[in-house]
Amino acid sequence: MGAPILRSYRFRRERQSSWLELETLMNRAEADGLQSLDSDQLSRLPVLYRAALSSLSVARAISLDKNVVSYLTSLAIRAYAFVYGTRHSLRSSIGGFFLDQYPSLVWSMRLWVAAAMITLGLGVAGGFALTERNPDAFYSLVSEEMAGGRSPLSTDEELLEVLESPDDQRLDSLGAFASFLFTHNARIGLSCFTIGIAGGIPVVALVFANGLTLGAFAAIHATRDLGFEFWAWVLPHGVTELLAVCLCAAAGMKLGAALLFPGRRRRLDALVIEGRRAANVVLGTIPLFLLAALIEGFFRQLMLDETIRYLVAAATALGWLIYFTPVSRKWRASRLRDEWDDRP
Amino acid sequence: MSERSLSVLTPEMVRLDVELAEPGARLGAFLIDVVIVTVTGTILTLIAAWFFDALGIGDAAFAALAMLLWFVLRNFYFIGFELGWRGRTPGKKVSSIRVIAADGGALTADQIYARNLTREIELFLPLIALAAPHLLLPEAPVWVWIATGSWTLFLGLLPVVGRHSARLGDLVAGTAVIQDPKDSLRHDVSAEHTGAGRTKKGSYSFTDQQLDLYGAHELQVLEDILRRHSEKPNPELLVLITEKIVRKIGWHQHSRDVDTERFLRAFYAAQRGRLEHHLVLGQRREHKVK
Repeated sequence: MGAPILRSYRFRRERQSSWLELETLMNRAEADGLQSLDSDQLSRLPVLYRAALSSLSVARAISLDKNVVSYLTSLAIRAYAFVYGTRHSLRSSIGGFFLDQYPSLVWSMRLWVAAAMITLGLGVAGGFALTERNPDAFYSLVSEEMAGGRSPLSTDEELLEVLESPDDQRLDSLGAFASFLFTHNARIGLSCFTIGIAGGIPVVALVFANGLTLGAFAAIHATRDLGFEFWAWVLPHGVTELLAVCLCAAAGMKLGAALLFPGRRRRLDALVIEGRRAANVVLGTIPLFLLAALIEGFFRQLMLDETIRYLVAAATALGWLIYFTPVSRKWRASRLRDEWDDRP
Repeated sequence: MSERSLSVLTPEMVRLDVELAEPGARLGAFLIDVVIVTVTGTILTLIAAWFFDALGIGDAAFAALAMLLWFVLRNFYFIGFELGWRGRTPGKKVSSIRVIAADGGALTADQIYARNLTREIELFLPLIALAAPHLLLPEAPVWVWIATGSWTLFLGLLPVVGRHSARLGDLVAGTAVIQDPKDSLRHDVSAEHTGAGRTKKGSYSFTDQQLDLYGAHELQVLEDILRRHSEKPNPELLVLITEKIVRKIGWHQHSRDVDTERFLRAFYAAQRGRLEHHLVLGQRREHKVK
């Protein structure tokens, strides 16, 4: 008497051709990429994947063949990575990110950005007031490296020279200066994000301290009636750069707040959700820092006219305002709608 | 389920037990990627140096460009590949590991950004701080060096000691790095019994009482043994197992008198049929009756 064929074996015999078909596709796709599959095979892929998943569910319920279950699990995982892996190219994802996601992400946390800006503003005001009352405070507020030879003891001419000197020797050090500023500020931005994980309070302190430095600089210029020239020197790139610092700080503060007051979420979950959001904010500031460093390193040293410097500052401010507020997205959405309506 | 596996629920609500990547495989993949980035970066830097020299642009501007280049390269290498290659970089491909969303959902672009940007904070900045503290903080006191050192060490060890062997970036992004599974579909052990190899010599049959003594675990151990036997015959082991089974189920013949391989295959098929019958009725027995 022959042993009857097992039900689980019959099940396997009926389904295994689709499993093997999926396996062949996966082998191809893993070795040569999805583009090596033709359109028929591509459209088969999700179907075969779901068939394999359903086979797996059934096999778990009826089969004790360990190999079949582990094979199906492994096949399902491989296909899962293809069906649910990302399918963005770097370019399209960056494009979509900067056109859509980033401005709305920043807009959604505008209160935090405002809080960071106020903190920075308080820092500037504090640094200004301290240095104006007691010029020696400058030394404790500004590191030697940042000061670049300027101090309350500098003469008016020395200060003015830094603000308006175009000479070639400086031009050579511009790049280094730009890179220093890029790394310096990007570092402040990144630190804001990182120490946001430590509860957000250090971020506030850091932004405030940054404001103090700026305020101290402003004060030593203002006391000699060079305030107008100083801000013309700072603002063209400062608008962009300080905005970027504030965005990073806002992300860090929000992260810290999520950690301290997770609400109904678990702390780790809150950290994960806000961390992802904050990382995106920080990512988006990289071009801002870069633009600021370029303006600072090249444009500012080549354009000495104060009016133009102020115009540039105003233009960048207006540009960022349009970019980050919903104005631009409304405008774009309406344009898309028009295009849609215009279709025959 | 072992320590090193993770249960994810696919959007189709099917649970998949995935095997997490070994820390060694992850380190290997990372080192390969670092080598690629370093070599590419060095070549690009040299080309840029030659170019700048020809144009007569100063060293400082070149230094700025080089810093930017390395920053962009080391970040967008990982991000670009993980986006385009579905969670894999060249290093990961060599090590057969990949990134998936730890909750079983679709892996999104912002998860990839988050897990890779965190690396900048988690590894590269501390490494720069260790190698050249003055670049990050002028006049860095010793404690900064010690602090960044222990920070790097802690984060570096996180995948080894932590749950899910996740690094900080994985925790922040909600991703997991898994081993690519490679099980292949093999012959059904019960089919080999019922298949062409069967002789007319009669087959072994078992009563339900005899089959109710073992559970799924023993069945699958037997499956492994039989599979390994067909690759690399090991008659002594089969005799040993047969003796055990004959004693346990009270088989009427002496173990000397049975054809061990055919006996075990028949027993496997009958046992699996019996257990699967129970399984369909909702009774899963994992272990044998003592």
